[in-house]
Amino acid sequence: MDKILIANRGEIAVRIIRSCRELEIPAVAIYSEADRTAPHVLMADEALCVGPAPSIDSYLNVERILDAAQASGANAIHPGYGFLSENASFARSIINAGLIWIGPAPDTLDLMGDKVAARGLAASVGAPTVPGSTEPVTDLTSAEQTANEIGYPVLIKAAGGGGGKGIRVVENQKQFRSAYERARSEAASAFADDRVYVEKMIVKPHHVEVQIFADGKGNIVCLGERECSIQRRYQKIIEETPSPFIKASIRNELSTLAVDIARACRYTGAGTVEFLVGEDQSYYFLEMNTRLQVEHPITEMVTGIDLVAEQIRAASGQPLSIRQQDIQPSGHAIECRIYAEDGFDNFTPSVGTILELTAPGGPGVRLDHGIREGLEITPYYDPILGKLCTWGTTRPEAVARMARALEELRIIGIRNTVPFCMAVMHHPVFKKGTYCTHFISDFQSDLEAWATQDPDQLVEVAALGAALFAESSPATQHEPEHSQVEESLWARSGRERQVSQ
Amino acid sequence: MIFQATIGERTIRLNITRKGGQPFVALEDDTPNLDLVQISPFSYSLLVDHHSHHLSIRSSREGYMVDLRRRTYFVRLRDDLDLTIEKLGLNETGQDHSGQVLAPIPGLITGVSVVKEDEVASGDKLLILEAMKMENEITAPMDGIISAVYVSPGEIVEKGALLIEIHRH
Repeated sequence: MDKILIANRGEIAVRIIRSCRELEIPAVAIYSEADRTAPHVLMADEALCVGPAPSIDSYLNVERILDAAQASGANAIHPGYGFLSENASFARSIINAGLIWIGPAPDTLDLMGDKVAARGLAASVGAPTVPGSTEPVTDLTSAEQTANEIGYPVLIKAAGGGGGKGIRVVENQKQFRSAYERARSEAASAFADDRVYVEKMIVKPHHVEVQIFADGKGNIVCLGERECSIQRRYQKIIEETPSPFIKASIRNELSTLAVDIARACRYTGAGTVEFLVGEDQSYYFLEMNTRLQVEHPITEMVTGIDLVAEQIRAASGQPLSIRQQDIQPSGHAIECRIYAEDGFDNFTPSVGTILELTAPGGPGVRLDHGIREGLEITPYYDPILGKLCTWGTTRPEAVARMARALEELRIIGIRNTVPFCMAVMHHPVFKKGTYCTHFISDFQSDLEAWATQDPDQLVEVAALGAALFAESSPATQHEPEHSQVEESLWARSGRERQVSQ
Repeated sequence: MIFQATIGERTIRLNITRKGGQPFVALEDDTPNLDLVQISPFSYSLLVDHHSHHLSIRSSREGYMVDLRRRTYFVRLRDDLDLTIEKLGLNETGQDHSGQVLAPIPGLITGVSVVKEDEVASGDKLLILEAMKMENEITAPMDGIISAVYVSPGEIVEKGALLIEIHRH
């Protein structure tokens, strides 16, 4: 492989550039007009503009991306996650242009990207699936009928997508129509496919996924599982490995099924098989993510394997260098996703300028991010700013280390999920490791209470800081530079006061 | 200089004096040993009786935002003059603009479900604002009649943009 173009942005583009560097392969970044000075552009060996800010005109613009590959002389493309990473026609255009696609074959993407076909394939190797519609539904009447047959609560999910977009929970028949319309419309805008399916909701579920890696030559290994049950709006926010919930026998069964599924769909590269595990440890195949996952670093931390480097090796035709018996996961790793969202205001996105950034360090800490001081966070893209991961020899050590690293991480200027993640690390249910996917909704008020407790002494320090600042620089008092952001924060503070009264 | 700082429910009185450029602060009945040093455009190191604090301080029209540990504190400061004005009752505002529906986040309007003259009840769907790939339903904050609709589908709005106005019955 001579040169790799990374068809992505943000933290994942930075992550891929790092592996390229270590393999001594030049890395080419692409960027939208809004991302001209983003860290992935600053880090890359070459960078080419692929269009205006909206993703549809830039990071999803296949023609411009292929032009950029040609102009830079890149002979391979890494798609990262999201954007075009699971788009079979993009993969085909790359292969047809004589370039290397770092990912599974387009036919595999087609097969596993169709949720219904994927469930059929999983069932054929013996993986149980959640009861629900066997075909995507396009009319309200049959969708509603299916829901009535399997019984409420049900989920409505996009047939063509993932990542939590286009998913709606319906508690009863009365809510069905509105939820169905929203899910279809979200699915249409996110995946250009408005088909949805309806399925039974599993009570107190856990989201457990298995990382596999295949070299395309018949060698497939399993790299352990990840528990991804801390979710908001059906999107993951905190993940850990190993799962503190599943029994060893279930772990073995899930691993075997994941490898069997990968074999059945002729998989190449890094892939993830997602399962829903009920309270009683009964499990169901959900879907296969045919790309690198956001949360791949925790698997890397416990296995010591660089998944991106392995992807590059597999795409260049090299057989797997590791055998299953060489993979001995060690210790425990946790990831906290740092989103530009307010965890205590319904995860409302926050935009603005990063005024200050201090990264944590020390033993067992890994921070993957795509931000810098002075960078403006725009509403055009996914709100992920970065991922903080910690490793410990035991789970309590990894949790304590995460709490410590979150305290060290300072992102000033926009609201973010750091305080929320801290509150989770201190919650007794999380510490015990007995949480399910309802954790956030069940314990939102505990988390908020923890995060808003004001030790008297700190309140006084804040007052002191403000007064000294005002006294020493009276001229700046009434010239807000970031008035828009601040006004809304003030409004929010006002609401908090009203609520507490 | 005397300040009254209000943070949430708490009000703290501070008196700052300077001797040779060095500040001395009386905080309530205490006079802690202080050292404030600016370390970047927005951040400061503050030692209070040897206890080390790393703060970020920004001013706004309404006061100060202080980031300290895991919290952002909103500090409203009033000096002697402000307090005198308040005592005289010259500072009454009491605005109520609850009929104005503002964009809570920047984004794209993908659907508007009401037109002028429509009657709405609190919680009724008004429009869909798409941001960061999520669809957000904006609902009516109160019962009333739609008196103006300022946006249409396809329009990109800034945070705080006036979207719709509702007139109380």
